[in-house]
Amino acid sequence: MSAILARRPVLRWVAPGAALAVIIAGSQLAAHWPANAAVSLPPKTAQQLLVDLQGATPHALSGTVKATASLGLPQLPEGMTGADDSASPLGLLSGTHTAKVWYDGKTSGRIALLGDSAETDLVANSSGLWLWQSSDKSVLHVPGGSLTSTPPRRTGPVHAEPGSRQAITPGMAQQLSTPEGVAAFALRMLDPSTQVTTDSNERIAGRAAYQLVLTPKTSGTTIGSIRIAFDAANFTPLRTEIFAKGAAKPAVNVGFSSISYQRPSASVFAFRPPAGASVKTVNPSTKAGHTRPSGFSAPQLVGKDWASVLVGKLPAHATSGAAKERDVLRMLPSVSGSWGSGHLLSTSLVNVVLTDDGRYAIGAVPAASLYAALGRG
Amino acid sequence: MMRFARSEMRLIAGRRRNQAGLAVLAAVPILLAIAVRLTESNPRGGGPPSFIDDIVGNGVFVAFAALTLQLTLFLPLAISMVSGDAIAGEAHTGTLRYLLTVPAGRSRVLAVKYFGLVFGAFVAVFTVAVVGALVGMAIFGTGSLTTLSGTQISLGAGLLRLFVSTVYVALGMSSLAALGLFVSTLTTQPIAATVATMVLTAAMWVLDAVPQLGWLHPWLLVDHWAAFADLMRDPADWGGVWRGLSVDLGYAVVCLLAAWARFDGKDITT
Repeated sequence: MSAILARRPVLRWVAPGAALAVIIAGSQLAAHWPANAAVSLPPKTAQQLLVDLQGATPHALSGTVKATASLGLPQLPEGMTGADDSASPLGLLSGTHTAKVWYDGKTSGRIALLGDSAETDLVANSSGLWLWQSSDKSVLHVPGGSLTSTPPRRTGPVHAEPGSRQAITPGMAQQLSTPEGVAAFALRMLDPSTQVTTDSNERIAGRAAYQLVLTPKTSGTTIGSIRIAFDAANFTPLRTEIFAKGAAKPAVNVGFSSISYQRPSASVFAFRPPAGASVKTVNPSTKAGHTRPSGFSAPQLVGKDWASVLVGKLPAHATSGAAKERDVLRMLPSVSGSWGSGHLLSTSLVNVVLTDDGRYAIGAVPAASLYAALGRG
Repeated sequence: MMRFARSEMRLIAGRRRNQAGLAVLAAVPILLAIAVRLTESNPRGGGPPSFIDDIVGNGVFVAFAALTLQLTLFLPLAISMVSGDAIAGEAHTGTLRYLLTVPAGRSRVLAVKYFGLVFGAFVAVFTVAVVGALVGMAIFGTGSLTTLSGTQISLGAGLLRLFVSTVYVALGMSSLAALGLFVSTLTTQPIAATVATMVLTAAMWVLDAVPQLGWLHPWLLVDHWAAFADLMRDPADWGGVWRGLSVDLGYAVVCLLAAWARFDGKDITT
């Protein structure tokens, strides 16, 4: 052996080369191993699947959720999107984010949005709702019964209502960070305007899964299809993907990368504000009064189904706005027409128009439909 | 063999430049603690999230913050300096051929050199953590620690997590030392080996900061170095740490084998 090596020193390099090859091959194999395992589920119609879903009981679980958004958002100034602070809810609008999710199957749940040396936690337990942000050590407490004001963990279309009527708020962003939350949002849109099909033989987080595919029948929307995957064994929602029209890759993808159905220990749901944290308590009843400052008028819905557009007027003080917000607005392309003039925020899924006189229109529709809705409203 | 290893440790610990480097490493947590103490009244928040905001609440966080801060420059620089010196330094001063006259074999020389580097890495990282924790506790006091998840853990549990974090960082540095050792076998100029190792580290940090190269990040040695921060969640998140350790191990194995292939087959003339 050493005689060979002495004669041909180059042969020694076989050792590091082989080690490198083994490491690369091994890691690739490990990464794709569960995905390659074949899935052979009996096919189910959409009707069967929906019935199964409503019959399913909530299941205790803990797991890791990865959320990827590639909406094609314009580059916003640093600090506006929270892109540098990956644990903030607004930062969810771009890039890939990881959250840990725990649910005890009954009344307690927790979502931990992981950032670099930072964490945002939403905890629902018997003392109410707690929102903890490690970046500024703030605690928001909504006293009350557990999980009554959070999105329901099961996504049967029947119970998908509470708390879901608000526009995009940080709470909404939180809701959209779990597969359950996005699924509830999507199922609300389900009605005769939609073609519903199913897909079996998916494997997500190592679990065999059925997939519900919702395809809008109208051409007036930017949404191509919404795919929601459910665990074939207990119908826990495992992944939601939203595709823009004609896109091969999902614009929004929220799904478990690992999941376990073992009941998490109760200590996971315990939360007591730590010393030195700034605690704000919000009473649900008084909060409703806060969010309606004078000059606020309820937005109206123009159009129907997938092509509907939300049109409304911003409160007066919001249009005068902070300098930072005006700077962002200036970066957006300006648009004008018979409806007036304003700025357009265009993404692959959602378009938003803010007019110079403080009106807004938002919808999963092409920009032209927004202009039409503004002209009518 | 043991005697050889002991003399190697004495050699590394006894060098003036290594002692000076260690003093710099120890100075950072002290400066950090004093700076935070002097600016304590300033509004906090909004800064880079690297445990610095937590220091006021509990001095132990000086150690975590110092580890996070030194991970990008000072610790890799110290490891590059010592590991670049390991073989190239001996070759440069002409002592390598005498070293090889002892009946030890080249593989054994390499093994002892790497052992010495791992020893150096542990001494360097533990110096930062211990000095940080002691200075922090002396200036800011201590008690239970607030985790990133907003829950509190006892001082004992916090110190245990600090210990595990310190070992994790030291293992990461040991892996860099293997890379440095390989580079050191390629040249007879210790400065060149040190600079090359430092440049490789810096290049990996740069690549790690480019989001468009996301597919490459899991393969970079430095990518998981800061993963010990996940241990300060509640419950502690070990995923990043295990991934980091496997990357560390991969780099160490490949670099040590490469160092062996180079060193064992090399003509030693100096």
